[in-house]
Amino acid sequence: MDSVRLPYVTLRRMHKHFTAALALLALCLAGCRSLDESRANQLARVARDWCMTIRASQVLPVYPLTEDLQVGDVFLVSTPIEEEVHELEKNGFLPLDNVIARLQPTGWQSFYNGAYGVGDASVLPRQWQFPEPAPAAPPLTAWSTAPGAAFPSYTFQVKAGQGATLAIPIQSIPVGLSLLQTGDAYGSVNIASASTYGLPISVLVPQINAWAADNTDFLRQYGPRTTTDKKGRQQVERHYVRMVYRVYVAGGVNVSLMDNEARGGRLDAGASKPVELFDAGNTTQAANAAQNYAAILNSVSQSVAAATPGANVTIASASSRGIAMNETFPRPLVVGYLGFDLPIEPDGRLGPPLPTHARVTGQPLAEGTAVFGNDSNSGTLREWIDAEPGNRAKLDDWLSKNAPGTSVTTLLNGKQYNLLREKALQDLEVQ
Amino acid sequence: MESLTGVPASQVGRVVQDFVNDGATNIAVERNADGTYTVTRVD
Repeated sequence: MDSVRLPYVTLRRMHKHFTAALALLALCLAGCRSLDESRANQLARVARDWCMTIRASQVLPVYPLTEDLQVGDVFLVSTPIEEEVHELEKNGFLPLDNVIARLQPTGWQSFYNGAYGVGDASVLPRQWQFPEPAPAAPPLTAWSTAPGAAFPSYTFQVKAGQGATLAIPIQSIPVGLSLLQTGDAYGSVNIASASTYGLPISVLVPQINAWAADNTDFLRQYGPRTTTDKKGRQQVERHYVRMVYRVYVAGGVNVSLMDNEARGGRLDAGASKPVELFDAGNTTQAANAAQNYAAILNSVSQSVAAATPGANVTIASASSRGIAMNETFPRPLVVGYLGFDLPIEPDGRLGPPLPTHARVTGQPLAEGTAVFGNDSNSGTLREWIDAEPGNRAKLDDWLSKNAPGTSVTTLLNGKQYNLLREKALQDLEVQ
Repeated sequence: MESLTGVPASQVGRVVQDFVNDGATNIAVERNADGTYTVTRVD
């Protein structure tokens, strides 16, 4: 009997221990997940605020910042930009992950008319990125000769624990927090030395169409198709080709930080480096104040450079309550871009470009130009509208849900709206 | 502005009527080099 009961008791004990261990593990995992979620939320918020600053200038933000994005880059996107703008507002930025080509556009000379060092033989942005002959000392690029741009400043607040994990790619912020010896500060970031260049859509469209003509086999795979969702409703899935036609480049940032607490926690960037900052209230030699101040700034800048070799940060001004820093990126980085989308047609050709302004501001596709191309469904829908006075309102309501902003005229007559017409007939049960 | 381009001459009247039914009060019609028309809702 014992030989039977003993394993049973042992098993029950093991089961109890196992259950307790599982509960403990679940608690730990829940706690970790909660911390992870909190950190992810903080990062997402800071990234979104940064991106919204770029977006406020009617420019789509690039995140993370990169040097490797230029006019002529072609991406594959599966949602129209109107929907992406909603995503942009929710998450802060659009991932640029599906690059399918990099065109080397022509037309620079006529667009810039010889200004900004752009000539017949110019290859942009190469001549600004890698000037020839190569400079022996900084600046190593020639972006200063490119057309200038300016952005509004971005204000933010950082609390203890966030300084080392800020989502914005600026090293001055943790450096400033370290110097102020505070964990609670507010500040502003101003994008400095910004440049821009681009080409008009009318110049680029023929070039992207020529590229598309050589790649119809590839593009045909991404033509529109009708899919059925979980509720059995049919949806038209479209893919678009997005072409970058203007980019914005930043050479650095100016960061100012103000301490929110008298003396708070301490955050260090790289090595811990306590620095005595300037305090005008303590000086007794007013005549030498400016000289002393300059010497202190120089000392702090050298101290920062020694402590954080990766960050090219100089101190512009400093006091016991606040600090202003100028950070120069080793090489200028793209912070934003403008692009246009072309729908991919069933035969692999590209449809008309959608207007930039409509896309950046989230305005509907119908605000642009549609190519005429009706079919028998156009006639059926038109007859149905005329049959009953209330049918137009029904169609308007259907459009507001299925293709916001699209007018009845565009639906009836637009060539690229053929699948949408078919879906309208099905949903509205038009015979 | 909303426009339809590449409209054949025989369809211009219908497209203009569609714009009117949509509530348009100001419509421009331009002739393209290829003989088709562009109908634009201006208001």
